[in-house]
Amino acid sequence: MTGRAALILALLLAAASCLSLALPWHDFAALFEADRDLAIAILIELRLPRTLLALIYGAMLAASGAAIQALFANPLASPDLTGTTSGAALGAVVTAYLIGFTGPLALSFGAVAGALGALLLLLALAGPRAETATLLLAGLAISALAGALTTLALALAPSPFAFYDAYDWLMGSLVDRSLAQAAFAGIPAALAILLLLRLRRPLDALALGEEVAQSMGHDIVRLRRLVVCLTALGVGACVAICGAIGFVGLVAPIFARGLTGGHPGRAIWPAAMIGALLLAAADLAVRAAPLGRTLPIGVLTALLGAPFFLSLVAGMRWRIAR
Amino acid sequence: MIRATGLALPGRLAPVSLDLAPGELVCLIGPNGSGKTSLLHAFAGIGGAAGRVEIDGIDLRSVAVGPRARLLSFLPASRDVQWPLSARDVVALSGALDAQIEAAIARLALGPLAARRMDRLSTGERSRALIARALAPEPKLLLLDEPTANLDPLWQIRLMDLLRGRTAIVAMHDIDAAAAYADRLIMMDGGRVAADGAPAEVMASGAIGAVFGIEKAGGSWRPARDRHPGEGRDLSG
Repeated sequence: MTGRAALILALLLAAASCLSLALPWHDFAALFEADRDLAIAILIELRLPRTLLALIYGAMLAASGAAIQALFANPLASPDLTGTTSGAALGAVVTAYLIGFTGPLALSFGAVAGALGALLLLLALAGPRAETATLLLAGLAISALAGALTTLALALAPSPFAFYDAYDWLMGSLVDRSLAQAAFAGIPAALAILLLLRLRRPLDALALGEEVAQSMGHDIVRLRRLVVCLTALGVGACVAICGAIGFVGLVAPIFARGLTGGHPGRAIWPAAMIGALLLAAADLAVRAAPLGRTLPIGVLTALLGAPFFLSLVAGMRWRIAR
Repeated sequence: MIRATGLALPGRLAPVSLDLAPGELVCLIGPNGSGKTSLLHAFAGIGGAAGRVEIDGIDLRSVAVGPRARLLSFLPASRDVQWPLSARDVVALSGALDAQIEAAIARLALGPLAARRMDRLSTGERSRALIARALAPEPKLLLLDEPTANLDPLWQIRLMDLLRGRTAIVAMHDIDAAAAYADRLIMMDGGRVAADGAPAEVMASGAIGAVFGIEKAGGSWRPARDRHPGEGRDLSG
């Protein structure tokens, strides 16, 4: 990534963050005039966690998407398409079902365990360097299974209100989260992103094939374990707080590799910036949408991401047919 | 001086120890599945190979990724690169210095192709880019698996000329070219070293006919009358 591209991305991120904190500006300015303390409280207690969560969750999804794509040598791998986010959601729901809603820490542990289980199952089913069809089918099967088990756990929930609460959460939402919740998602995610960044060289070497990477002295088994565990940690922690948000982890790394000349490992950092920008922009869009109520952000990313994914698949099919 | 002790891969390569003199070009021949690639993998530490490789007294296992590029380089038989990298980026992944990268690109005449994406090069051009990647850091030991495959006759000759004077183990199927260029010929059969010596000795020993099931008649190879190819010993048996 060139310095200019990094600067443009950083400026866009700063702009999106400021807009996320300040909009709608007129309401906020009026409240600031009338009751300064209340305005500041709203800024810190409501808007700041939402902005922070959009940035860190977007960055986490994209960084792990870039790392998973590099690991599987497949541009269609991502946390959602590999079943990681569904596994995390199942883990959180099962934890809540078994031991009740005892706080974000227990839910986070459950979600991380669910994400880890999904990724390990994917590795077992599809193999370490999965072909696109095998990877997508295995991911689809894991997502379907996790989704069905999540619905079952919710249907058996003792309180019907739990079902509606969980439904909103499952759609993916950044609304009404506290600073403490933002920390529960943000600290593990930031740690996971920083550690994933340290893996960029071996992930770049994997572009030449596993044999060459090993001959260069990279420990591929350790690399695979690290990518799986860090993805599970970061994505699991974010899903526990904000629910499942799709397609950011697929789309951002593709744009990022355009900035790194196709290097899959070097794309992790720009992917994280683009992912943060995409989710912050998506959050601004759902807030601006004139629907009378706030659209869950996961619905918007799916509405925009699914056609993009279809265009990728169609493009691959066209290239194969040619 | 390169010393390999007890190199082995379970089920693929029986324990083997080899010494290579500096600048020695070793060509590795053998039928399909005889263990040529396995021996290269064992040297390169791929796939959990047992044994120890020392280059100028340095144990490869104790060397970090950066300095290792100056000791050993491996070219696999596959010419696939998973991502749309340019030929120059592929050469740069070797960890070589900028001047070495440019020298390798020039040596393999990749200049006009260097900015082009690997998936837009022909198989032969891709091979040259990957060979440049292996040569760029000027490692003390080159391990090349079928480097002449996909190259046109001129580039096959140029490549073998380029390898002269370098310490290298080169797996190849062209027995005559191997004998012509090698300082030393090693023939694999059933995961074991079946013959090891000066090319003239190995060629004259009759071992090639026995292992490959071929014989030389009228200056060219043809199937032997009393033996079929691929009857080598099997490690698993």
